[in-house]
Amino acid sequence: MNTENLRNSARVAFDRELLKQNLKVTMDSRLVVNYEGGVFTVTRELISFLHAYENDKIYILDDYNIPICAIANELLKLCKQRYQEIMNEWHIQYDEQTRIRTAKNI
Amino acid sequence: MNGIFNMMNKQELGLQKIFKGCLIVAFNTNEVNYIQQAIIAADRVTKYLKIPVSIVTDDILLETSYDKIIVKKPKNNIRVPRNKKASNWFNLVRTQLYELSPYERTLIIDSDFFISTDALLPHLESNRDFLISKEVYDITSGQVKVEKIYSSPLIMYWATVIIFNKSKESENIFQAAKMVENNYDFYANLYGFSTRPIRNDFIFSIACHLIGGYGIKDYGIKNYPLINCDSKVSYLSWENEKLIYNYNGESHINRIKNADLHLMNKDFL
Repeated sequence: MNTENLRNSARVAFDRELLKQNLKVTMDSRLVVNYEGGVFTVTRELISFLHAYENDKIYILDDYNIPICAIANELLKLCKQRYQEIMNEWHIQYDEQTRIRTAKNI
Repeated sequence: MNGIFNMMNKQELGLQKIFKGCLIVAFNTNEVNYIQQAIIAADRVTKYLKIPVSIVTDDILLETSYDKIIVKKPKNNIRVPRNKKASNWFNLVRTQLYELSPYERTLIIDSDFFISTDALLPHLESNRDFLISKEVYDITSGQVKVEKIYSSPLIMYWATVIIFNKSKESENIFQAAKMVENNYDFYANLYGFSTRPIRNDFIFSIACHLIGGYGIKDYGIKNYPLINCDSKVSYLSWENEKLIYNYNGESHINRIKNADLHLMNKDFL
């Protein structure tokens, strides 16, 4: 394998990884919900945390470090819906990207 | 709703009090049709965020379904991009938008900021008094960064996207922004940036630094990096919410899809 081939391999690897990063940044920014004026990034940890409280009324810090009063189940439902919606779309787009082998297919 | 708020003779025609809305500033130059750009941006705000839009302009004769806020054209803030000729730029209205906005909660975007998602909605519906872009995503490296203003310790905020309530804090930030704008040369010398052209990003960065307790308060929009597609990037195509672009000297080609994009490279728009 000569150096030109190695360079091309590196370039392809860079482009492929950047494509994934581009998808990640757009999807991450949409994994957010608003509840009672608070903004929450939907994560697996948040969903697990809310499960622990069920129907309880709790105070939870939002992304801006404001304590927001929430009914755990209500916020949980919102988070799960959003998570499912965005992850489904993420999967579809990721699948589409894996079929891109050359620049002309982009 | 279709009304005209005419700041030149202070008549209010047909505007009702609306809670949430978007302002886009647009003053045409000989080189760029900012108004056409703003209308395209406004169409996307309506489609994805479903809020009313008002265009801040000096063009009384503009025919558009969007509300117009007519103001006097600001002074020419000539800029000279690298390796290009000088161009006209009328961007010095942003510090007045607090008073000009007819909305209780306002989203301000640049006319070259094209929304393709509902990602801003949760922030628009939040109860934060003032929010402004802080993180930036570089589509040539895949990195999210927070920049400083040159070698100063000041965090750089981007006036590309601003959300504010009609509140004391927001009013103070806009008042501070006006003060910085009026003393731009002083602040440019203090923080080591060029005195011309005058940049709203620097104005608001300094204003937020001051009003936020000398930098202790963070006004950045969380988890919403601004995707800046600047002069490092050549746009090959942009359709069906997919931007295909060259970067790194055209040896690389890539794409970004279904994203809110700041398409700064006017040569390709």
